[in-house]
Amino acid sequence: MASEAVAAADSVELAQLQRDAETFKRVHPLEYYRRFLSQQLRPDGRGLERFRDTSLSINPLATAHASALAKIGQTSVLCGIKAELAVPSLQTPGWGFVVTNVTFPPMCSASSRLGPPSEQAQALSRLMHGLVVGKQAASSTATAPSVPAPTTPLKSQSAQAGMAESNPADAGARGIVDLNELCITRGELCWCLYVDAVCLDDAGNSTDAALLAIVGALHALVLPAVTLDAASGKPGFNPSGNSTQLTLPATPFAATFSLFDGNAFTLADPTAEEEAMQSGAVTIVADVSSENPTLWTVHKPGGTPLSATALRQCISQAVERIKTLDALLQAELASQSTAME
Amino acid sequence: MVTRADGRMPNQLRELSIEHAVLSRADGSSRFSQRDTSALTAVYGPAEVKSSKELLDKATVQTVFRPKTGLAGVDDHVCEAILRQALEPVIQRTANPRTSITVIVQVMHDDGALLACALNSASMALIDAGVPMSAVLAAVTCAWLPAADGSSERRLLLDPTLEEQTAATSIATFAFESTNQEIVFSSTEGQLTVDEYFYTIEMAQKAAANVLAFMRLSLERKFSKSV
Repeated sequence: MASEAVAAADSVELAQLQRDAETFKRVHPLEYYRRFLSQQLRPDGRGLERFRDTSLSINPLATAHASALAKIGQTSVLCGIKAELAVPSLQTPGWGFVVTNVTFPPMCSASSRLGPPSEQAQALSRLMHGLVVGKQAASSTATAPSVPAPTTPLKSQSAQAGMAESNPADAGARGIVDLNELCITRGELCWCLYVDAVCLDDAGNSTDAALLAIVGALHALVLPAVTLDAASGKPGFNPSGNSTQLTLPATPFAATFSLFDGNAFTLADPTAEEEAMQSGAVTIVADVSSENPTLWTVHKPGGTPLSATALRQCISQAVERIKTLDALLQAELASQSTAME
Repeated sequence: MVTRADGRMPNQLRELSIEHAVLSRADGSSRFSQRDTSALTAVYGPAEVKSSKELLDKATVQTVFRPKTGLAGVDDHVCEAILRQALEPVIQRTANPRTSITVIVQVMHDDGALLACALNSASMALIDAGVPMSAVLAAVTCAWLPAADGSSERRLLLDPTLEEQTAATSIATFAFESTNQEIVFSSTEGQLTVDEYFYTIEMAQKAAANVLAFMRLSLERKFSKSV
């Protein structure tokens, strides 16, 4: 009926109508959304379960050791990895270090300000760090030995004393990166990776984009061959050695859903506007490398209560989405390697 | 049946204890302990709110999470955010618009399942303060441990101690609301299959019902008068 009315209206009336819709949105934003959602549609034209167009480009930065730019709709997150040599800590002589950080500079949205990292940035950094290094290392000290982490020094926990070095066979506690692989000479030399994700444009769902960028950059990372010179005890570049890539046996991706209007609607991949009005959110991180998907985290930081059935539905949607992200990464890496040849 | 280092069964919680109204100046307070893990919460409000944080149609919930020693770090700020986001949906915020409700959690001791203990303590303190709520939160932590006797089956332990938590390959914390037992908060660390995840929820839901029953009993005792 509305479309007939629009068709009948001349251009002046159409402009009037658009202005009215804009006014209505300003005055009753939630009601404006409800009108769309009751028709199983969102104001940006997507269905409720539809994610925005997603793209990933590997190594857009020439100056970082590895980098990746992930875009989900307008949301873009750039991740750069810097590798430095460091001395392993005494507690974990066989491990390297990874320092993961997600920052929201003032340019990314009106709500982010200059200054100490916001609550959102801290929570996201913590989540990403946990995924990258896994449970064991996440609960121990994670900062590099000499250089403190740039913005958010991750606090060491009391669990250190009982901490055992990870055995990768110990399924269930691994992270994306196996810290054993970052060790060059046990107890003497290791890599310290600074994984910095910067949100360039926060148009909603920066979590999914951040993880995609981090995963993309880790896959692109090539570490030069370095050996410890026995005579001088100093590390040196070994021109005859092979540069190494990380193994990365399993790659998780994230899918975020927004609970809207109580939990009447579940919106996949919320925009910034939807995030501002949502009553809760669920982020599901899983990997689909094996037949049965493995959940890395189901993160629901409060908000409207959700039944287990509804959560199960979110998870099955997330798995479908993660399969497409996995294919996207594989395609991007394949095109990257053909370009190299 | 394999019992745990402290003699508990895998699905057994530690002894709970609640002390109500332990602080004299706070509008409501409570100390919640799961044996050695213990958190003390003070609630102030509904009270005046800073104009920059004022919300026209509802109360502003502010949370503070204090570690046992030292300054609050990143993890504590993350806990703070979790507490706020988990408590907001159960507090009837529209009942007191343009006010603030401040929840301050002080960690007394961490022997595992600290976040669950903090959430339980906060929800008890809110009741003590008489803040209008639509439900009560009950939180439970679960840990998956590698099998002790070499079999490939992992074991699920409820309410792990710090020792068990360190040995665990996956840890999950859930908070349920009391009316429909639906999930308000979920956070997991380490990998789980989908079936393991929902089994964990099921077990946590049962345990949370026990925590709730204990909260109810404790409140009944507090409000009953001896004749």
